[in-house]
Amino acid sequence: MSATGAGVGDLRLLDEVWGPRPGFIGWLGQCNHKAVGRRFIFTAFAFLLIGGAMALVMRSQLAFPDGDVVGPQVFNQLFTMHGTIMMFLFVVPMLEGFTIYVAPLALGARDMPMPRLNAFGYWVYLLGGGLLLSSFAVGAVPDSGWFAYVPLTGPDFAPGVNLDFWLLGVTMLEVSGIVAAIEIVTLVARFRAPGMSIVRMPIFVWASFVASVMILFAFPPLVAGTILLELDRKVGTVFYDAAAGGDPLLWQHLFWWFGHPEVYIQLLPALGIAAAIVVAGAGRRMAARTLVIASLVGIGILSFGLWVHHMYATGIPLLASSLFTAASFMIAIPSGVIVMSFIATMWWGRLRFTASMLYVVAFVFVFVAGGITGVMVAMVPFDWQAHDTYFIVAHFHYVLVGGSLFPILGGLHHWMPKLTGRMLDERLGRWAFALNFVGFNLAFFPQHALGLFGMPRRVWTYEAGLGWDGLNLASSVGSWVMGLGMLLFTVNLLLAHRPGGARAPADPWGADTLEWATASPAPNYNFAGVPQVASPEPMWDGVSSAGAGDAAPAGAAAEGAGADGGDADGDDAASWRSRLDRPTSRVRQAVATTGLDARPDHIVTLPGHSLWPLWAAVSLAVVMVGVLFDAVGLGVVGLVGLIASVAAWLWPGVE
Amino acid sequence: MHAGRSRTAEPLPGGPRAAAMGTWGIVLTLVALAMFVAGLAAAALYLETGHDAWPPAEIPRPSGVRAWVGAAALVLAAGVATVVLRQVRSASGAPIVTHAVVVVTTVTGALFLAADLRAAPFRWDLHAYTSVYWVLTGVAVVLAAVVALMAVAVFVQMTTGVIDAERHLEVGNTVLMLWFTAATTVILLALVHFLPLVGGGS
Amino acid sequence: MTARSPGPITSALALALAAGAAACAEPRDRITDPASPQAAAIDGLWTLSLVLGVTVWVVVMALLAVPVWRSSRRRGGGAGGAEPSDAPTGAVAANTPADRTVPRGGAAAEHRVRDPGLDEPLATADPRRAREAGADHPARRRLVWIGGVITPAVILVVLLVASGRVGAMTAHVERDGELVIDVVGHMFWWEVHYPDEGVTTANEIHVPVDRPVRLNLTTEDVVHSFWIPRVHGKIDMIPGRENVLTFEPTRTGRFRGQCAEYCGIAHAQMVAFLEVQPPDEFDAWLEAQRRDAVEPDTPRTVEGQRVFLEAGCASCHAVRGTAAVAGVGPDLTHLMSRQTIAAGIAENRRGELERLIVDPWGVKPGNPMPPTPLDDDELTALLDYLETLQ
Repeated sequence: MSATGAGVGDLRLLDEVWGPRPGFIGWLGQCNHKAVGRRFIFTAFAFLLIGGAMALVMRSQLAFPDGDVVGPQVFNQLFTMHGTIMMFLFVVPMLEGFTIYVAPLALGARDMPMPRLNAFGYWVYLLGGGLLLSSFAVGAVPDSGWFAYVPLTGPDFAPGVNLDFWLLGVTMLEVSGIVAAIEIVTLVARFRAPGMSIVRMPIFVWASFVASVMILFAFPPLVAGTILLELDRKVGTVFYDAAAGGDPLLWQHLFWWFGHPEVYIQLLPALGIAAAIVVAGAGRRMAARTLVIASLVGIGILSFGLWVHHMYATGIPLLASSLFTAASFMIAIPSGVIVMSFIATMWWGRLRFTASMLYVVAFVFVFVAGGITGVMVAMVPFDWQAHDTYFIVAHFHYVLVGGSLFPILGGLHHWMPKLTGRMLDERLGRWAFALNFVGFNLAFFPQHALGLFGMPRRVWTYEAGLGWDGLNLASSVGSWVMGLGMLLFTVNLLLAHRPGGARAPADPWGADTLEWATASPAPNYNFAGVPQVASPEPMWDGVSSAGAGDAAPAGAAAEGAGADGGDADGDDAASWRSRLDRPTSRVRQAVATTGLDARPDHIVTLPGHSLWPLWAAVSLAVVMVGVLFDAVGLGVVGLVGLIASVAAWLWPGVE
Repeated sequence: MHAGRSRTAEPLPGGPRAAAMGTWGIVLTLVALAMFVAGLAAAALYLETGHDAWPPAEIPRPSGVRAWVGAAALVLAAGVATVVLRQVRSASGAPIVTHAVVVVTTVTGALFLAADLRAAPFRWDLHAYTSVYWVLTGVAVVLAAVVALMAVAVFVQMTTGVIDAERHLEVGNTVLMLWFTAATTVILLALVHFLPLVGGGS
Repeated sequence: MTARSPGPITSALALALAAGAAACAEPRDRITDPASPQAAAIDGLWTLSLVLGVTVWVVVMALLAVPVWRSSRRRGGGAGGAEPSDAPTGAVAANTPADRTVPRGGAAAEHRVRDPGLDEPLATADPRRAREAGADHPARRRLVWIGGVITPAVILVVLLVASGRVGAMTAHVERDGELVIDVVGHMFWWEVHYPDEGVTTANEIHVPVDRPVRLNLTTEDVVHSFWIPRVHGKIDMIPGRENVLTFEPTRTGRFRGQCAEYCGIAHAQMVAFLEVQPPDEFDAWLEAQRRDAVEPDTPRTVEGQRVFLEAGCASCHAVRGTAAVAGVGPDLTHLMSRQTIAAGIAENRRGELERLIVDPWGVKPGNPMPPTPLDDDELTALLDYLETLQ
């Protein structure tokens, strides 16, 4: 890359300061948001393939009545792990990965605010996922469904270590999620480019921000719930034991307090991805942008008032459950706003049909259907029929595949240039899309009917003559088609990264947000110079700048940073801006801004390379393994390691 | 606490107005911890409302004197730590000595809470109430232990001279965590010891 | 470059339709074929929500189809071909040509790829483009408000009222003359008591037509969920609680249902049948069930009873009138009055019974019933005896 403003030598030094250290250790110890975000995304993609393969085995088993592809034990393990992998190891980490990679770029920042914590989150995720999957190696795979209802998961009915793998693995993944949420909230609060007031923040970052706040409120109670269950199992407390004064329903309340927001935690950032694609593809501002942001926030709040709608069949009084019907209905309105805004943006824009845009169209197609069945099952009496049947399976796959997976696949098409500097092939991408879309609908649409015909979920077999045969076969065929689509998508991903493949331009889509203002893939330092933002679409407004040496441009100063007269952005600005670009010492520095109006406030020195987050995560995993196998000594070793590595991590000046 | 107090932050001209990253970090962590504790508290309340008598008559009531002494020690530690912060900020007094008091008081609080568990008249597996008693008090012990570690870390930092009037984010964060722990302990203990006075729900 | 890929979508849609047509078969028990007023009310609610839902979905898809269709026409007819008057022209097209989706290396990459250090506006300043991109057309806002807020709110209020009314109609209420039945969930079968009649059976619940039925639902182990789709929705069986389900069957017939809450390895094979009979048939059945088991009267069946009592069967199963009183497995006093065995998954025939005794895990993997080692004579005698338990 050449440079005129900052000078080639300065950029080289900047690149070196922000780059990883040489060698394997340097690669391992990277804490930069780009390394961590990419790791999250590709690890999560691998888990997607694993979870999808499990689904294919299950559908093959159910293709014909009395199938004998796998037995009940394996089938039960598969659906448990499929749900767990997709929820905890794929969707949430994938969306966190997108946020961690893209959000700092879209905000014009140089890194996440706490890079080491960021790396810690990834290591905990990786080790937690490894812990869960290692249950296959030990032959003690969790088999109680992804919501692990007691007492089936209690000490009496699940005496093996199967459920301990699940509980401890999930706890680690929750810790990882909470850590990432803290990061993202702080990022939004502190690292927006000067001039990017809170309303100018990209919709995607807004969505991730809301989801992160939700994580802070939704995940910890589940950690509490899983710890209580683990205590019931390991030391014999009786929280969930009805015979000793406990209550199995307590688990359901704690689980769904987390579980329902979790659905929206998986949905919102994906909506944000879809919004980014639509705005870029239509060349227009999001229709009713402020209302959309308000809707995101509204969904975030409302989603905490719905958990009982998973429990209508538990015998909760009708009046109470009807209140939850009303609350569940209410969430349809912000969702409706968002869907209509997508359509309006497309309608009044000039659409370009890239593969990513196809995924967004498919998202509207599928998600609206899933939303409508969602309204249906929010009605208490209908839910008494539909609950725990294939109707529900169809419903939540429509919502989650339509609402999360399709935008994620679209997002991979959209951001792959920025992630790795390569572009996914459009033609292959369209074929993969067509297979995914048709396969998905063929797989899951018939399941609505199966539910109405009395087929409960989580059955490993069914007998002939119930009228389920044809629909199940159609569903299985659909799943294979979709499997083919995912295979094609993966091939596309690999082909794009073959050595010598074409490089992507910095801004292949003519998109609106700041991540496209820098090279593809983003250089180590993200931006030379601190961007100055004047509108929600800084790439389009013709005013926003990526200034390196001089004061902010007039337009931006007038509209953005100049809100109060005595702003820092005067002559002084030149000096601190140039200092960020021409580092004199080898420290990573970035500017932090104020919370609402994003005025430059202070310069932060960020840590670089560090292995302590890895050691802390490993220690945590050792504690978990110690608990898993009742190895007190191992647990104590892990605990001491954890304390030591956190102390070293926090000690000033230690890398 | 605004960003001027963080070692890694350097205010721009016009002075820092925004809170430091570290302050955001501790506050958000406390939000997550508060939700964790809220989950436990909700569990205790939920179990209580499902019983006619809470705990059932045959289960002895723990005395709780040691626990309340421990809670009082934590509140005291939080108060003294606030004084430490003020001393560090104004570079007056002997913050190291005052902070030594904080460390000792915090550890004392943790030990008293733990002693309350040792003196419990029942095991955790007797009834849901006994599980609630053990786990809620146990969580208070763990929180107190964590904040004691933080206080010790700050003490070590003080002795090595890393903390001064300009750079003392660690002290501020420890004060926040101490107040949080003290308040949480009081709430958890109230749930354990006062809910039985109210009796059962249904 | 973006020559239209020759319809991977259309070709695949045809495949989907073909597969869908093959999938039609008359289902045995569907919720849209109600056999009680409760199920009928829920079916009505379903129909209402289906009609409203399909309407909404079709309208939204029509709205979505417009920009999709327009842009595909534009792609065919060249840039700026079929523009709505209020959409941007020229400028956007020039700035963002459709073929930008293809990476352009080397020489062409100058477009929009700036040196990151340059202090200049991020994009080539095109005031028209900036204005157009940022314009929030009032019509767009109107569409969002009407389509996203007002219309759904109206529909939801309608559904809320309907749902509340159906809820009130279908929720449990005490009724005079109701037949009380206790159903207890077990891993993996249903224990059925008629407390007022002193009758115990399993898996097949007999009720008279046109009489309110009250099911008291509890569980012996984990959470199960009791569900007969044609008479009512499902309700869970939860340890430490009793849930109640009331309905009034108005059609005779044999209605099938399955455990609906995952309860462990054999969850898929935990089937219940509801046998709705005319009152006189029901009374006759009840009368027969009240009696103790018949005494064995041939040497074979006497031997069979001895095997039953001594080979281990009696440690789980009860046969009223004998020494077998255990309640771990289903009560076998009137085994032969049931049409199915192993919780509704096998026909009640001699061969199936034999298979269940010899190889219970083959019939139902995860079955808590252990295989019983018997020699051929014992087995024959036992089966002979079981066949007398009318």
